[in-house]
Amino acid sequence: MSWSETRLGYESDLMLQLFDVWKAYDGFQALRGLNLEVKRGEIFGLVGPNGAGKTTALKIIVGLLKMDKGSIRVNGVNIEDEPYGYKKFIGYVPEVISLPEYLTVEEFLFYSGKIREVPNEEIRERVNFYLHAFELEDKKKTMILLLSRGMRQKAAISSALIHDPELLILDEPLIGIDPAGQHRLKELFVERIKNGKSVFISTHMLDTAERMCNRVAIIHRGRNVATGDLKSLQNISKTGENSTLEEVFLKLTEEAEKEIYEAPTEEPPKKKRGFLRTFGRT
Amino acid sequence: MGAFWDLVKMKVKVFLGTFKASRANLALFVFFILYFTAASIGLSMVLADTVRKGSNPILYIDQFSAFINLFFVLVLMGILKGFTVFEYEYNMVLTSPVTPRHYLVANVMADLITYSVFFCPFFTALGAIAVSLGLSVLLTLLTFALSLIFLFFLILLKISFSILNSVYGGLTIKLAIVILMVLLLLPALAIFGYFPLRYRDLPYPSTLLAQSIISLIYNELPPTESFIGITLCFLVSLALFFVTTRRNVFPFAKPTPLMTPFDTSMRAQTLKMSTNIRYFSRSVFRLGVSLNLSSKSLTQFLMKKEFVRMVRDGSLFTSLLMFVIFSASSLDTRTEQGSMPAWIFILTFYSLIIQSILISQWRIGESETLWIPLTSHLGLEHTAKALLYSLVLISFVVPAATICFLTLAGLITPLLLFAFLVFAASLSLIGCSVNLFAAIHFLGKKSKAVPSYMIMLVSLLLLGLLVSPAFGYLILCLILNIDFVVNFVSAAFILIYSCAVFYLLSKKIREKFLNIEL
Repeated sequence: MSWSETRLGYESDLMLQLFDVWKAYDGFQALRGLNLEVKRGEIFGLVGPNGAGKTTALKIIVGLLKMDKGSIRVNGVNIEDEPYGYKKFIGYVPEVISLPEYLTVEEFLFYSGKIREVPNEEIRERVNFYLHAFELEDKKKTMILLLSRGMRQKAAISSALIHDPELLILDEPLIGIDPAGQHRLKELFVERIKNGKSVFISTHMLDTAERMCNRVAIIHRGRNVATGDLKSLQNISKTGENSTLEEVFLKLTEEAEKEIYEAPTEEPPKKKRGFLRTFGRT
Repeated sequence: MGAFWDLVKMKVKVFLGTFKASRANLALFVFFILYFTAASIGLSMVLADTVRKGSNPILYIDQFSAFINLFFVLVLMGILKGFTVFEYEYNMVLTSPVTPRHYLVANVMADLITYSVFFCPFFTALGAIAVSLGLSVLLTLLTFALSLIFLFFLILLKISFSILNSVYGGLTIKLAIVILMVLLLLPALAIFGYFPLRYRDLPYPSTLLAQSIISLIYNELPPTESFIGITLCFLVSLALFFVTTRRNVFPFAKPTPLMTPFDTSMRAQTLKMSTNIRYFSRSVFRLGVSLNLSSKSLTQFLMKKEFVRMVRDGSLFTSLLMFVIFSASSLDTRTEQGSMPAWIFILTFYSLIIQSILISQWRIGESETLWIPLTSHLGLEHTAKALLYSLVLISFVVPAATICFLTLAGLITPLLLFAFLVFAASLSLIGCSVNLFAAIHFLGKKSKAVPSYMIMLVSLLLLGLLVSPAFGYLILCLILNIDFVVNFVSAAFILIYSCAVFYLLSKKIREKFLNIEL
C-alpha cells in the first residue's frame, strides 16, 4: 500500500477543502480568505465575475501557484505536506490551453499517461476510449497545431482523464466545444460522479453552472459569498424559488460589493520572508 | 497633420512601453551601447590603420558591398511577408480616417526615432574614423548623407515591394524577389574565388555605396557616377513609394504581433514557432521520428519527446545547418596548423551559440506547456533531466563526429583528437547546463518580463567565465604540444571540473523547477 492510500482517507466525504486561502500578486489581492468544500461524487461549480479569483484558486489547487496563507486538502492530503504526491488525485484543464503543438493527438495522450506513470497497457486502452468518446479517432495522427479550439479542448480533457483522477478540475471547460460535445462531456461527468469521483468546474457562464453542477460556490473579490445547490442559494438570496442562478448571482454579488465598500479594508497577510523572518524571530 | 503626429507619438510610446515593461531592458540597452561602441571604435581604428598603410582601396569594395547586400537581402526577406501591420494598429489605426500614405510615413518616422538610438555605435565609428584619418567636415558629412540616402532607399523599397507583394501577390512576385536575393548574394562567392564576376564589376546599388564610402575614407571625393547612381536609386524608390501608396492598401494588411527588440511576450516568436512546426513536420523533415510507448524508462521516453520536438520545430535542423555553415566558412584553412584555430572557433560557436539557440527554442515552444508536467505528481524533475541529457547528447555528438571525421581524413593527429573530444565534452556539459539554468531562471511568473536577448546575454557571460579552463587546456595542447601523460591528467581535471559544474547547475535547475510559479 502506498503512502497516499494509507493517509488519503478514502472514507472521507470531502474531496477538496480550502481553508482561509489568501493570494496576492502584482499588487493585487486575488484571494482573501477563500473557503470551499467539494464533496465526493458531485459536480461542483465555482462561479464569479471576471477577476473574482476563480482561476487563481484553481491554479493554487493544482500547484501552479503558491498561496500566501491558508491550507488546502485534496482527498484528505494536505498539499503543503505532499506538494507532488497529491497530484495523483487530480486532473486539470486550464482556461487557456497550451499544448505541445508538435505532437499528434495520440502522442500527446501517450505523453500525458507516461508522466503520470500509468502502465502502458492502460494508456493504450484509455487513449482509445477517449479518442472514441470525444470523436477524435480520425484525428489521432494529426498534429495538435492543426486542431480547432474545440478539438484541442477535447484533447486536453482526455489528457486530464488519462490517469482516472479522483478530482477533475476544469477552468471554463465548455468554451469552444460544440453542443453535441458539451452533451457528451456532461454524460461523462455524470458517469464519473456515479463512480464516486468529483468534478470541479470554474466558469462565469451561469447557465452552464446551473445546468451541470450539483452545488455552486459564488465568489466575489476573492471571497466565498455563498455555497449550495440552487434551492439553498435562492433561500440565501431571497430571490424566490423560481429565480435563476443568474438572478441569485447578481443579487448576492451586489450585496457583497456593498459590504466590501462599507467595511474597512482588510490587510493582506504578510508574506513569508525566509531567512530574514527567521532571523528576526530568534 | 495633427492626426499624423499623434500617430507617430503613439507608435513611439508603444515602443517605449515594451522597453519599460522590464527593468532588464535598461541593462540590456546599456550593455548594447557600451559593447558595440567599444567594438565600433576598435574596428574603426583597424580601418584607419589599413588606410594609413596605403592598401589598395579597390580590394575592399567587394567585401563592403557583400556586407551591404547581406543587409539588403534581409530587407527583401521582410518583403516576402507582404504588407504587415501590428495587431493594435490593425484595429485602431486602420479603421480610422488616417490615409495609407500618412500611416506609412508615420511608420518610417517612428522607426527612425525609436531605432536611431541603436545606430549610436555606427555614428561613433564614423566619428572615430573621421578623427583618426583627419577627414574634413565636408567629407564626413558627405559619408553620413550617402549612408542615410541609402538607408531611405532601402526603407522605401521595402514598403513599396511589400505593398506590391500584397496587392498583386502571387508566385511571380515572390519568385522575382527570391531571384533578386540570389543575384545580390552570388558575387559574394567571388571573395572565395568561386565566381567569375565581382561586385566591383557590377553596377549594384551596394557597389555604388561601397565605392563612394571607401573613396571618402581615402580622403577623395566619390566618383561622380557612384554619387549620381545612389541619388537615382533613391529617387526611383521615392517615386515607387508615391505610386504604390496611392492605392488603399489597408484591406491587404496582415496583422502581426508587436515585435520590438525589448518584447517580452514571446507572442511573435511563438507564432513563428508554429510556422516552423508546420514546415518541418512535413514528411521530408520528419525523419520517421515519432513518439511511442516503447521506451524502457520515463527519462528515455521524455528524451525521445525532446528529440521529436527538436526535429519537428526545426531547431535541430537550424543548429546543424549553422554548424555546416561555420564548417564551410573555414574551408580555406586546409592545412593542419591553419585549421586548428578555425575549429576551435567552430566548436566554440557550436557550444555557445547553437546550444543557446536550442534552449531558447525550447523556452519559446515549451514554457506555455509546462503546466502539463507541473500538474502531474512527478513534477518537472524528470522533464528537466531528460531535456538536459538530450541537449548534452546532441551538442556533444555533432562536434565529436566532425572531429573524428577530420582525424580519419588525416587533418588532426590522434593526440589532438583526444584534446578536442575533451574540449567538446566540456563545452557541451557546461554550455547546456548554463543555458538551461539561465532560461529557467527567467521562466517563472515573477521574472517572466525579461527579453530573450537578455537571457542569451546572461548565459554567454556566465559561460565565458565557466568554460575558460577548457579553453586554456586546448590552447595548451595546441601551442605547447604537451606529452600524453600531462595531456591525460589535464583532460581528467577538465572533465571532472565540467561534471562538477554540470552537477551543481543541474541541482540548481531542479531547485528552480520546484519553486516555479506559472
